Formats: sequence, C-alpha cells, structure tokens
Amino acid sequence: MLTVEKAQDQHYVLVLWGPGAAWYPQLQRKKGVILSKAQISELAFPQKIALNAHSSLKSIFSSLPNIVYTGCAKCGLELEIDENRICKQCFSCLPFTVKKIYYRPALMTVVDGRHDVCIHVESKLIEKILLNISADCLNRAIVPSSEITYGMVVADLFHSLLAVSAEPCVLKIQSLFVSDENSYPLQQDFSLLDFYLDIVKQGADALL
Amino acid sequence: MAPVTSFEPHISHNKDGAIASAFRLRMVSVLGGLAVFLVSFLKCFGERTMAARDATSGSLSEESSALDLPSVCDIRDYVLQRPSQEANSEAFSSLEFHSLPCSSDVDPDTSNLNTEHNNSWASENFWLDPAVKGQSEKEEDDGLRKSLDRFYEMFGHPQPGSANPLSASVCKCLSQKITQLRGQESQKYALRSFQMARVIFNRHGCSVLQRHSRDTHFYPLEEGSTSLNDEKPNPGLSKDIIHFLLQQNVMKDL
Repeated sequence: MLTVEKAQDQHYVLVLWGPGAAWYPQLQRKKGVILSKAQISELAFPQKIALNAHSSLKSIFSSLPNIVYTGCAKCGLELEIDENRICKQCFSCLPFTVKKIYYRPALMTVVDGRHDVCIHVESKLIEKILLNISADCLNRAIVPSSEITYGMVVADLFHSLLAVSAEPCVLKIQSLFVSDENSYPLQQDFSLLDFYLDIVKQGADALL
Repeated sequence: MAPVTSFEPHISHNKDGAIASAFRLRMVSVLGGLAVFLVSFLKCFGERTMAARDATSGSLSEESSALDLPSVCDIRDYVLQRPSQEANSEAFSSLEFHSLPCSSDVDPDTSNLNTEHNNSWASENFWLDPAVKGQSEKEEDDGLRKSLDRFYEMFGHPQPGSANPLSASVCKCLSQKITQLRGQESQKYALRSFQMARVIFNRHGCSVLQRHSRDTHFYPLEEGSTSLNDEKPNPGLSKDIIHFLLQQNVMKDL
C-alpha cells in the first residue's frame, strides 16, 4: 500500500524511479481517488434548496418534488415541460421515448475536523445514499395497506444523514486538480464516487 | 291533488360574481294528512355558477332576496389539513410537481370562498398568524415522525404463522442490530437503513440473500461482492446491509 501525504499545505512532486517507476500505471488509474471519513453537513440542490441539520422532516418531504426532474431514460437529459405541461421528447435518442425521474445532482458539503469541502454528487450516488430508492417510486406506498410512501422514507433518510450528531460516513472521492505550469493548483474539484455505511465492521464486532 | 313543491332561494352576489346561495325546500301535502317535511340545504360554490343559477332560476320562484350567508369555514382548518392529505395522496406525479396547494385542488365541499381566496391559499406566505404556522409545522413534523416509527415497527416483523426460517433468522439478526443502534444518537441513518431493510425482507422475502449466499460459499467475499454489485438493487435495501447479513452467516443453520 502506498500512502502519499501532503505536508503542511506544501506542494511537492512525487518522483518515481528505479523499480518504483513500474508503479506509475497503477497510480495513474487511482490518481485523485481518496477514501475519506467525513460528516455530511449540507446537501445543496439547484433552485436554492439546501438540506442541512436545521431542515425539519416535513420540510424535506415537501421539497422532494423540487429536487427531482424528468429526463430521458437513455441519456438522462432533462426534458423540458411545455406550456401544456407535456414533457418534450429527447430528440437525440429518438425513436426511444421512455422517460424516467431522476434526482437532481447536488453539492455535498462535508466536514472533517476543521476543513470543509464541497463535493459534486451525481444522481446515481444520491440514489445509492437513499437505499437505492429510485426517484420514480417516491409517491408509491411501500406496503399497500399503509400510507407510508418511499418519499417519506427518503425524507427520513436525508433527515438522519444530516443530523447534527450524525456519525461520519465513508466517502470515496475523486479529486481533479487544474494546475498551472508550475504545478500550482488553480482549481480543485471533488466528485463523489461511492458512499459506504461503516457498519459492516461494526456489525461483526458487535455480535461476537 | 298533487303535492306542491316550492323553492325559496336566497341568493347573494359578491363582487366577483360568485354566488353563495341557500335553498329551502318545502313539500306541502294538500290532501290525505301527509306529514310536512322541511328540508334545508345549504350549498356553497367556490367558482362562478352563473350557468347553474340560470338553469335553476327558471324553476324557482324567488320569493325573497334576503341575504342568507352559508356557514364559514376557517381557512386555517383547510390549510392545516392539506399537507397530511398530500402526504397520503399522489402528491406528485411523474410529470407534475405540486409543492403548494393551488386553486384547482380546492375541494368545494370544504370551502365557501371564491377564486380570490383560492389564489391567496396558493401563496405560501398566506398564514393568519406566524405562531400558528410554527405550531402547525411542528405538529405535522411530529405526526410524520410518529407515522414512520409506527410503520417501521408494524411491518418489520414476520406475519404470525409464517414459518419461513430464513426470514425469521434475518429478522432476528436485523432486530438485534436495530436495538443496538436505537440507543445511539449518532447512528440514525444506519438505524433507518436497518429498519427499512427489515421491512423489505419481511415484505419481499430473502431470495437476494439466498442468491448471494450460494456465491460466497464458493468464492471469497470480494468476488461475491462483485456479483452483488452487478445486480439491480432492491429499492429500500442497501448493499452494505446485505453484506452485513452475509457476514453474520444468517443462513448457517439452514
């Protein structure tokens, strides 16, 4: 296992030589991918919808219609709704006309000690965080004899994830640095690659 | 001689032309000692009903134009009632998003206000009293919380009489974990994940576990998890929890 650590905000170049040069292809593949344990403090969606520890369960549930959109089931392009409230077709995917509801991509703010970082979260990852509950079934009852819908559970999941006292989650993050000719970072973007509940280890220990 | 029916409408017009009208129907028997029935109907209209009035006025003998206002509904009752109805109903379809009540959703049987009032209901800033708003939001919040907690408990246990040993084993394992997580304030998300998994397994069975348990008998966990990742996920079921259950060997005694 190779660990590369940045010291005191200084920027250095990692030089591989000799036998170490053989590691370059593997490092290239994993470049910029980090695994981090951090607390999620906010999820910001377009149209100024920001979910955080101050958001009540009911307000999160009420905002669900505004954090989803109708898109092409093939390419994911958001489809506009015309003045007659009819969804337009995705012309580039014709004759394929199936539509799907997606979660809007969000900007996740995570806190790790004294640092906070904004991470782009795509629709698929939001769905994974929400226990694979697709945006298509938000208004569906989970059990026919009950009034509880998948949407209510989604609101509950957001609410619990963003609670003030919430345990940090394990996040796999892709970082992308844009550097100048002196390798000084000009821009730094992060996107979420995966999300884990750190319970598998907890579970094995707890029930022994 | 036939019974005579007479209508005594009391019609009022407000500035928008909507009509609030009250009808009193009286049937009078002329012969044979028939009982006299007095039935009162109060009907409220939320929209223009000129056509209806025109249609019925021909058969009405307007004996009086006295103003007879129907009973007034409290706006707050309607608005407070609305969100819980939304939670239970098809609040948003695949194409239309209704985050606010709008005039087309107004139920004329529960309101007597005209279109002007309906439009003001559609404004999210229409509240009579900020304190009332805060209190009602808290009540709705508590109500939703209680409904969810009740749901996780009620549908998280196998039906009495169902003798599926795997389901019982899975339920027992998840319940143990849920009890452990319940006491930890910082583990709410994990708790909800387990509670939801228990409902889904209870509802849909444990076939996903059976499929992957066959794989893990013959392959190391890493390769088993690759096949789990390839599979289309079940809504409400986290793969982390499936991994957890496989690690607990819930199927070892079966």
